[in-house]
Amino acid sequence: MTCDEARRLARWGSMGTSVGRREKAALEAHLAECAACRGEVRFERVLAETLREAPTVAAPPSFADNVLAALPPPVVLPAPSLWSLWGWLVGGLALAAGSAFGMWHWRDLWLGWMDGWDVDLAMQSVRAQLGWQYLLNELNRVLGLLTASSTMLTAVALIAVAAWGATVLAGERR
Amino acid sequence: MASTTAGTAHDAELVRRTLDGDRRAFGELVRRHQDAVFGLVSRLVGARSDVEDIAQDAFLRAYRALPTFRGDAQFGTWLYRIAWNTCLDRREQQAHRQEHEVSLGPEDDEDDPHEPADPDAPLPDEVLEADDVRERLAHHLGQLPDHYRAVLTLYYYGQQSYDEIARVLDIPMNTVKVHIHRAKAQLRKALVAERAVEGWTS
Repeated sequence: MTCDEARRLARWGSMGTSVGRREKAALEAHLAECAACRGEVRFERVLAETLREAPTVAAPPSFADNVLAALPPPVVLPAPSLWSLWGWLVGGLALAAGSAFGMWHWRDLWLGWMDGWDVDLAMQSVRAQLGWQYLLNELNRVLGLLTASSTMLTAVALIAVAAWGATVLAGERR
Repeated sequence: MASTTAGTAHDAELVRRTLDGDRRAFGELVRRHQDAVFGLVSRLVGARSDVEDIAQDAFLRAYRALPTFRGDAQFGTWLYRIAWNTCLDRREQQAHRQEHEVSLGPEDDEDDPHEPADPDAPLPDEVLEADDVRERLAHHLGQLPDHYRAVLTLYYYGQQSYDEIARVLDIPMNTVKVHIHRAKAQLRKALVAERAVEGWTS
C-alpha cells in the first residue's frame, strides 16, 4: 500500500465510511512502518472529530413555526369572478358583433368612401398592383350575402361558446 | 447531511407542494433540514448568538428562491449554498471582524519565525498527543479564513463530496481540493508554531 492509498483510506475511515477487513489490515501494516502516514492519519482523525463534535447551537423547538410566521405573505391573485369573466367576454363579443353589424349595415357609405378615396396616382398604382380594388369588391360581395339574422345568429353562437369557455376557466382557477 | 433517495424524493414532493401554496409543506422542509443548517452555520460563524438569525434568514431566502430550484441538485445541497451565502453576507455586515480575520490570512504570516519549513510535514507526536489538542485545533479552525473553514466543515462534518462542495460554494472542484489542502497545512503550521512557542518559553 502506498502512502497516498493509506491516507485516502484513513480519511474515509475518519469520516465514518466503513473500510473492509483486508484494507484495514493493509492500512495498519503500512502505518506500523510509516511514521509520516501515522502522523497524518492521526491528524485527520483529530480534525474530523473536532469538526464533528464542535459545540453547536441547537434549533429551538419553535424554530420551524418562527420561520413560517416570518414568511412573506403569499402573492394571491384574486380569483376572477364568474360574472366578471362573463361580463367582459359577452360585452366584448357584443361590441365586436355590433361593430360588424354596423359595418355591414353602412357598408355603402364606407366602401364608397374608400372606393373614391382621393389618393395620388402612385398610390393608385400600388393599390392596383396589390389587387386592392379586387379585395374591396370581394368584401362587398361577401357582406352582401350576409343577412341581419345570420349575422346575429353567428354573434349569439360566438357568445355562447365564449361563455362556456369562461365557465370552464373560472371553475379551474377556483 | 447524507440524504437517502427516499428523503430526496420526499424533499422534491415537499418543494412541489410548497410551490402550490402549501406553507405546511415548507414547515416540514424546515424541520427536516434545520439541524443540518444549524450545524453548518454554527461551524461557519463564531458568534453563537448569530446562528439562529442566520439560519432563519437562510430558510426565508430559500422560500423566496424556491421557484428557481430546478431539482438538478439535492435540496440539502441547494440549501447549504443559501446558508453559506447568508453567512458571507452577515460577515460583510461585520466589517471590523472581517478585517481581523483577513489579518490572519495565509499571506500575512510569512514572517512567522516558527513557521515550519514544510507545512505538509507530519505533525510531531507530542503535538497530537497533547491533552488539549482538540481545543487548540478548534481555536485555530475558528481563526481560518471563511472559505477554508467552509470546505473543511462541508467535507468532514457535512460529508459532502468535492463536487457537492464545489456546488455549495460555487467554486471549481480543483479549488475545493486546493482549499482543503491549504487549510489543513495552515492548521498544522499553527499547531506546530504554538508548540514551538511553548517549548521556547518553558
